[in-house]
Amino acid sequence: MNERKDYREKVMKLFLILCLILPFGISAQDLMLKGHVIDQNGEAVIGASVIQKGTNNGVATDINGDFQLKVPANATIVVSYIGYATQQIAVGGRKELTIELKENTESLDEVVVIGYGTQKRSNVSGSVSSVSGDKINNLPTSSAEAALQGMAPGLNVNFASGAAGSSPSLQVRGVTTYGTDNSPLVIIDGVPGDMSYLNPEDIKSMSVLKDAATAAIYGSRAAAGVILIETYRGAKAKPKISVSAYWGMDRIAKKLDMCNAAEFISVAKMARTNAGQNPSSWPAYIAAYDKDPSQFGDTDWQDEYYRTGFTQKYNVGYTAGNDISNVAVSAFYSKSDAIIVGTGDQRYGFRLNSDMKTGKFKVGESVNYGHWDAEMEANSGFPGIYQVTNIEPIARLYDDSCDGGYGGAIPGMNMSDAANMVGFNNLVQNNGSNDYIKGSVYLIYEPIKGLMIKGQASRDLRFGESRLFRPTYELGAMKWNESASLSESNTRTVNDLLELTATYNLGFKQHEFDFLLGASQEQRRYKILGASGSEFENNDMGVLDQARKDYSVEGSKTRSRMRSFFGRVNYNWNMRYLFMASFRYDGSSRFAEGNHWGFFPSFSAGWNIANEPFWENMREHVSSFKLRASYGALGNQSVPLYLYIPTLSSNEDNINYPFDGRNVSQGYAVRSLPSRFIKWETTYYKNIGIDLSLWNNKLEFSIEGYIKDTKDMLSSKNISLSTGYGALTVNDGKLRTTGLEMQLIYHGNAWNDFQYDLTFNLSHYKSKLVAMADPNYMYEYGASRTYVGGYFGEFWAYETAGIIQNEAEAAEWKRSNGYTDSQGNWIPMQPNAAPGDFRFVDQNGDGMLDSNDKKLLGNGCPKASIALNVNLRYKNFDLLANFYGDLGVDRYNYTKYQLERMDTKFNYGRNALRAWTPEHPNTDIPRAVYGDPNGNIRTSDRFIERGDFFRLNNLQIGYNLPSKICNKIGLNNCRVYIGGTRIFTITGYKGYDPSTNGGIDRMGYDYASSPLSRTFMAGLKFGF
Amino acid sequence: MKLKNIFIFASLVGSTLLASCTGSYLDEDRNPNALSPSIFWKSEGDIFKGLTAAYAGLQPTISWAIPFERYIVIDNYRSDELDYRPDVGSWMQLAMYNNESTNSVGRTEWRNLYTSINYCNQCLDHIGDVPEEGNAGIKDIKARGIAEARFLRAFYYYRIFINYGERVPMFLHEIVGTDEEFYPPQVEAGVLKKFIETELSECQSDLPESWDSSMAGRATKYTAAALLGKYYMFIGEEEKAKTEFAKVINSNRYGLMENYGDNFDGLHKNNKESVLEVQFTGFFDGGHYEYNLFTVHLGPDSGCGAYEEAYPSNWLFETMKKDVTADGEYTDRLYQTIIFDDPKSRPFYYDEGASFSDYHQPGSIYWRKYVTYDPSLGDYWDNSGFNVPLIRYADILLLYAECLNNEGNTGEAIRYINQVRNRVNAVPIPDTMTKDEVLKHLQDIERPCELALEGSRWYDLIRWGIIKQALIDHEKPFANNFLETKHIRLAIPHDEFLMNPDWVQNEGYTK
Repeated sequence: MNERKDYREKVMKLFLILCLILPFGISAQDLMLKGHVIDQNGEAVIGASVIQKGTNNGVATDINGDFQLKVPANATIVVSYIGYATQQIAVGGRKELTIELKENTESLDEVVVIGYGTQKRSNVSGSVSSVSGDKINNLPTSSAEAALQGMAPGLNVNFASGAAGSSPSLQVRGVTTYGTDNSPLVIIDGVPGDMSYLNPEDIKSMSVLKDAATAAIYGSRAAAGVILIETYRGAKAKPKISVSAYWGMDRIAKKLDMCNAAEFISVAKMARTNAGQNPSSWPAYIAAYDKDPSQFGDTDWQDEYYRTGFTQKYNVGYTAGNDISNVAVSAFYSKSDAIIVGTGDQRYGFRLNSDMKTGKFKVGESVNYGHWDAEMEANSGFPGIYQVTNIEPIARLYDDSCDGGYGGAIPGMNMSDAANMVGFNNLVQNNGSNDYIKGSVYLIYEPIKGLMIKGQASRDLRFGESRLFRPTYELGAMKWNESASLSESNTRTVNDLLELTATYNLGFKQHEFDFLLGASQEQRRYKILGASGSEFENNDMGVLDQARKDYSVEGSKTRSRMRSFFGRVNYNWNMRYLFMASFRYDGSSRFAEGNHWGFFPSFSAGWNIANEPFWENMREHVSSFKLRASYGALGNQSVPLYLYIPTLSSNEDNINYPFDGRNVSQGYAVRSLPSRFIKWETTYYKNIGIDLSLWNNKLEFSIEGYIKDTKDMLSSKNISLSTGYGALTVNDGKLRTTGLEMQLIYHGNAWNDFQYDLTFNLSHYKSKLVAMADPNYMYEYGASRTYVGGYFGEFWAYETAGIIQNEAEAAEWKRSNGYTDSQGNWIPMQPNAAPGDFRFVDQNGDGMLDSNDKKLLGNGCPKASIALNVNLRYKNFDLLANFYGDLGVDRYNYTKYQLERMDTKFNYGRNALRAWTPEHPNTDIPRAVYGDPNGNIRTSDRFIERGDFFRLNNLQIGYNLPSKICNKIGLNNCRVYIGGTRIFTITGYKGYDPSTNGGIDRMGYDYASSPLSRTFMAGLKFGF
Repeated sequence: MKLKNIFIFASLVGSTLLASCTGSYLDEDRNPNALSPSIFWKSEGDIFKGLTAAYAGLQPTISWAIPFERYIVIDNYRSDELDYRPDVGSWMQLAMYNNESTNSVGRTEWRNLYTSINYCNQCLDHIGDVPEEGNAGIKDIKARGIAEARFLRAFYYYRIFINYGERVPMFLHEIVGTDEEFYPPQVEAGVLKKFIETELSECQSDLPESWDSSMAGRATKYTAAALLGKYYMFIGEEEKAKTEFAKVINSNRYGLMENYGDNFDGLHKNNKESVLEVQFTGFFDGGHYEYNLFTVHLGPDSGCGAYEEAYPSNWLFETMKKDVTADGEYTDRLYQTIIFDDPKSRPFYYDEGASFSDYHQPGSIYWRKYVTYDPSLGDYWDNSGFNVPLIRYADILLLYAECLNNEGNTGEAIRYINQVRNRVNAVPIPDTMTKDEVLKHLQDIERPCELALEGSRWYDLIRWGIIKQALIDHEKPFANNFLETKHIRLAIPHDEFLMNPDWVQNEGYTK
């Protein structure tokens, strides 16, 4: 015992000297208090803070929930932990204490999970948003990402599409890098992971590390933010089983207004007449329809394509524990028949978490299995909803004379090649599935009080399968497949992690320290194996073995590796002055020797003003008030592998050649230049924040501002097309994102039985591309333009100046807008302009209409994203409502272009019926004209719309069975609810869905994205 | 004691990790999925492999139908022989003469041609590296390989010249990655012209007279001479052109096929009439895709189920109908060029006994040339494995005749023209024709009928200087948009000016 105490003092002294802190002693009348901290379930609380009141003499509980603290016999100790009410206990001379902490979701001084540890909320000087599991667990979704929508300021959940098999992407605080990945690093139970396989009901807590101070400990891959997730583990309590289930109906929230067969024919005639086409050269269906409409269909393709979907999910969990071990097991199954016919997915999986203790050792593991499979939309060459709005209503859904039974373009009628997507989705088998197995084990050794050495090893294995079988079919005259084909591929990904960390915390007098040192090594291996073949005995024999010809195979493998060292020091003085410094030193195989390593330090400081003595009088109103600031560097290495290694291409169609028109010879050539000098990209991050809570934490408010400067950005260096090579990757880019976030939380109650929590989040950012290797860099995707000096999300398009009403106006426009060529001819700017056509503005006045005449006409990056989360409880009823929306945003409505183009054979939106004619000149729709000689459908302000929206994303009304009834039927608790997702959306946007989003370089560009569905559901949850 | 152990343990772990991080854990010596350039240019076989890539530039990016975009859209959409269906926007822009520097067709062609030039330059820079020890014949193989690469490079530059003009960048060596290469200057006027001429002249001596049939499609002396002759025609140097054509004719290696249609049916690939032909195959064993997708783009929707992107123009149809045999019947040229309502017009998709009215509306016409299929060419009609002739002997004969006529040897010229006409039994043109009449005949009848859809017409109209009037006279849609100062060339792609703002754009186009 003495020896041990001796050691501890030595260690403490060592640190003291290191830290240049004045030596201290322990006063004689102190006693050694031994304590055990448990929660309501009797489970040990690890890492709870135990402090002698009014001092900074304190410790944290160890892995058994135990602590020892020298205190004066008459002292009062303060015990606190994340999510629990802080307790004050007068020691009263006792030497041993058991302290039971009670849950308190309203506690401000919660402990937040940060990288490789936890920190008290009041001690945090960086930027971290945390969401407790109970906010996520109740949301009826099988997608953990979707559950995070609107939950944390600065965290964006982007749905590129609502299609089966697609999952939303996450983005923290706007744009960090351009050209490589902007998705945050996800750490699940201490190991980099993938949220796609995470059951939202397993999430115990989630933290979003937003600034350099908090994220730098994950240095290399943290620039785009880090999301830390912990899953439920067992507790010391009697075994519990909980069961939940829900069922929901999905519908499309909105239909586009399309022409029916008769309307379609009338617009088609108008368009052809206006194009000066002789009726003899009109497509055959026009005359045939006039003669006998009954030989054609009158199909509402949206009605056929969308259906009522059905969603269901079941979840069962078991937890148990005692003094030395605990276990949590959960399993789930979910299935959804999506709103698009012939598509759907299902997921299932289980998780096992357990921990065991013996003496100074603790071991545990997490094992997770996840499965996902989906029947996806068949690839028809274009997005499904593009086809659905294109295909003529005169085409029939079914046609018995076609192989497969589905109709389409009628032979000989000169119809378009738009696809019957219902037929496609039902005939073509496009399946994907993934199996995911993750196991991680850890061992913690606590050789002396406060020092924990942890070793962790994990492996995750992902097996992906995809299968595409195209049977023989005939979908009308334009889409056919004469010979069935099958292609399958299997992928295998193995991620390995080995990690060793040591943490040490100590506190004395008013000083409190936390140290962390660690090293880790990661490896990722990927392999793909695929084969394809065609011609099968029949459409039921879709196995590769039966393929008779056109065999081909694919296969490749990659490997990437990382090695890292990291460390952190936290210090606070008397809970008032907070400091944190951390670093990570990372090596990556993605860069050539000499460029492997990157160093990412960070610093932060905070001042708890409300803890100052001078604040004493104000504490009644302002219970906490903190200022904080941080600065640091974060890295990004998400470039393709082997980029720096020169390669010689072979066995590629583009360099093979069949001499004699028969036998293919293999060509060899250098087809790309290596990016030899690439290295780490670094984001320098400044963050300041104010946290305020009023009236004993009833109202919490925090506001933060940040500037992210990405330097050495891994980005494209465009080179002359005449080199024949594509862009190189270099570190020459610069990007700046500035942003502001605000969160307001109000905990209220009225009468005795009514409680409510309101959370309001607001985030704003704007991102500017500051530099690229090429100073004139510009990338255009339709109206979306990304260029040096511009903000992300900008829409550049032609400006219209009204519709030309008559020949005189057309002639005047042609006379006054144009240029003179070298032979002295006057060249009108819109040579084909005719009455009913748009005037376009020649912005630079050079008499030519080209890309230099596009004007900044909108921005797809919202000025503000807002979310409002409401929780009400009245007696046994509860209500949950989550709203979110975007403000100050424009969208490019590509679907409108589809509906109003009128230049080709495709179907028209009903707006085409309002097209300009001499008789109906008062309209904003130009004349219908086949071929569109004036370019009325060019990218212009016609298609840019306000994209602001506010949506009720989730609504639940629940009823908790009274405990009397529960007990009678043998349950501990039981809640039933009804609710829905995306119940209503307030927006002026005319497309399907204002919330779907493209990538960084096409924000707000709605390119025929599948809309998100509206769901009504009912569910229940009970425990016993 | 314990603390000591911890320190020992920690330092052991630490030093192990630190030691290994200076080691090779993070080093990758190669990309496991690709070859390293260091293994290449070591043997005779490598010369062939490098040249194969250089030849492959003749049919770039099959999967996106780029061969169709090059040889049909760029070479024919703008001329008066073709009408188009408004479908693909970038193609329509070309045909309607409202293409600008952002048009993707011009950009793709530009990039593909320069990519192929770089493959040729890789051959030219490295064929010399192949060791010669113990291989007696390799010196000749190297010389021949260099000549082939020079021919191909000149062909790609020729295509750049005829569509983009002279103010373009030029690369004579493999691109290794310097900023001078990344942002190259435009060459001065005259440089490119001189280069094409010199290269096509000089490479002839090392090119072979002919190739084994298994190597059909590779360049010979006469391919180079024929291309040089066509180049001279384009720049109006008919005297020099005549010399080159004479080489081809006097080699006695070429002749006209008995049946005109044999040149396009894929069953007579690399026949005696073929001077330069792009090779395709409709089979994709081993996952190779080397087909041309012409039929599926040109064929009619009705009956064939193809995309029907383009039609023969009425002017062409009427012209061909008038160009008859001695019996007053339509010639084989018409039947092999256009599908129309006639018992002898029988495209591949007609069922036995069926006729035009079973498939098509009265009065409609479709392309017959390149709309064909035979199971021996591949398993699927819509891929199309026939070859695409770029220079046919008939073209050489007609150009030669044009040269003869130009120098006043009209009688001799008529003899060559009638050689071409005889093959399809078209009524011979009379000996009495004057020089001007012969030229007019070549311009208005012979060349358009013989070479319809073969990428001659547009460039012929430019070199004859009659383009604007021809487009108007022959009722090309939107002919009024056509500006001779602008639309005889494509724009240098917009992207180039982002990187090279000082470059000069072709007239009429903006940067």
